[in-house]
Amino acid sequence: MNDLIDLAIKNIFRQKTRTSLAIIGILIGIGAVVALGSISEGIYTQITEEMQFMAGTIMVYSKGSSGFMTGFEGSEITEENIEEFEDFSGVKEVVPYVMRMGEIEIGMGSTMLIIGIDPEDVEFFKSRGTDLESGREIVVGDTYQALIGYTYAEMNGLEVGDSIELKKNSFEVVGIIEATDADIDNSIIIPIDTMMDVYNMDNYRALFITPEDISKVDILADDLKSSFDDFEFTTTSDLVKQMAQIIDMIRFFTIGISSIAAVVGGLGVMNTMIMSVLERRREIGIMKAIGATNRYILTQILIEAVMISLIGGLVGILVGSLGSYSLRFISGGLATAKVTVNLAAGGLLFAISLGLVGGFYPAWKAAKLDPIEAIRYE
Amino acid sequence: MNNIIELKNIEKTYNPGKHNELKVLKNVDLKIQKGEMIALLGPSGSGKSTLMHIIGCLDKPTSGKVYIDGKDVHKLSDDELALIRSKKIGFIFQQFNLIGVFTALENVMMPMRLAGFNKKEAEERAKKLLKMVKLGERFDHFPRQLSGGELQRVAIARALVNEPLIILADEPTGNLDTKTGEEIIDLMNKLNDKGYTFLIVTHDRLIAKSAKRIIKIKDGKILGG
Repeated sequence: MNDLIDLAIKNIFRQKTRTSLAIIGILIGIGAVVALGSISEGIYTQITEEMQFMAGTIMVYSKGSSGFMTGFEGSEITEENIEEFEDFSGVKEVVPYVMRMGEIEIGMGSTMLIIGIDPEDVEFFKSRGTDLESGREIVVGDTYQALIGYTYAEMNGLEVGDSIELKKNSFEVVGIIEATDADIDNSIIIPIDTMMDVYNMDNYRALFITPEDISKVDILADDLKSSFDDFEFTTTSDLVKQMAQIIDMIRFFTIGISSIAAVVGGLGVMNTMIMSVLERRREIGIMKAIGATNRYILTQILIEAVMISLIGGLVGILVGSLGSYSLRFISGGLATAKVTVNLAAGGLLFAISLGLVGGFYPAWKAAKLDPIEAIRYE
Repeated sequence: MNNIIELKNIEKTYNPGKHNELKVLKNVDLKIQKGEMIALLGPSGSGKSTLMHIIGCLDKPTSGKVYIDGKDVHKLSDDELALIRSKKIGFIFQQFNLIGVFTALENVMMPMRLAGFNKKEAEERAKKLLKMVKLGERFDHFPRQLSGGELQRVAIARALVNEPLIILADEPTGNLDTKTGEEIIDLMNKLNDKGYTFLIVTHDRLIAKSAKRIIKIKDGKILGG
């Protein structure tokens, strides 16, 4: 086996240009699979994180407003509504929440989410995976104090103690939330009352309702739905269903289309190996004459093909990851692209199988060569 | 009698039953004993190459039996025949036919590696043989860096590496100048003295003269021997 690998390395470097072109073919294909695939994986990771954030809760917003991903634009929930929900049987806690897309007036001007929360509810948010990287939480009595997400802090070079401006109001950064892969990375969290003041909002945008019995969260959501006509009550499982469809579609388009490029790369490997076998007919004939079995020749050519596709695959994953990273950087951290272990492993397996499939035909032809004729070939 | 190779009633026909049918070998019987030095002579198209390929298990007869070391090879699979080629047969070609990406040493080791010997064993034996053919200084040279005579000596070392029953040489001096050719003939004679068996397909009178036995073949039939 060592001999075979050694021989394969020697052979693939005989025709450097041709081998490089075949490698580039695979590289582009697998690079595209990884870069585009990382978009759907990024969205998937983000949504899973967000799901975790609201696991066991019911999200409430007005019917007809924009949804979860777009800050509940147009949603109105009043203090009276909150009281009604609080009195509803089975409800343990109601946590109001205001969210909007915002442009910061100084700094890099990147888009971010501004989230208003009640400092009294800080434990609710903390328990849902928003630990701090540095600084402190927002506490009762805070007004113009802000927590900022990890990416937002990175992109704008902000540290605890710095100040940011929202609608000409200066806020002191008191804490930075650790990286999560969710929207929160690109968010500014400020006390809800201050936020409603600054943005002239009379009502809340959304609420989280926690049930007394977490296992009955879906039953409570159904009860709420039949009692309140004007609101949407969404549980994690509802969202998962909606999102799964969207993610599957994104996956199909991103990975599906880039796979075509990779298959074309596989054809390149096949072509390269066919040429290589043709040129080396005589040598293959000699090897057979001095005792190489058909299987030995078949394995030798297959190893060469897989080696080409493996190199292409590895470099492709690297290039695809760089592409994915720059996508995240260019979009100011808002587009979430993530190269997961599964995606990289999948890309590598795909590359190997392209080598195997593309290499099989030339390998089989080489194995079946008649040594007498092959040795005569000049 | 100690026959290492025995051919019984060998026929070889290309394209049997078709309009371009061609009988290359007819009723060939041949026995080769250990230690022989045989020159196989015949005009081109006489069937001598085909006969050599059949003895070397590179080709199969249309009918008749081939015994190598007493074993009928007729029913063996391609891979079993490959194993016989690596272990029992040594090939020497007119065009030398070394593998270009391998060094002299690696070329000589190859049949041993294919026969399943480990690298250390193969390397030791290949070095010994290369020294014997006076290429002790050329282990790491590639074929393109060697002269014709040196190439053929590497090829001879490669043919000997698995201690074959017989060495089949196809015009071994055909691509060499007279002086180098003589050196190769000399080397083969010395090896024959050591007990190696040779069957040499040749036009070279010198080889014919030094051979202990001459087999003449014409129109697919053995004339004498």
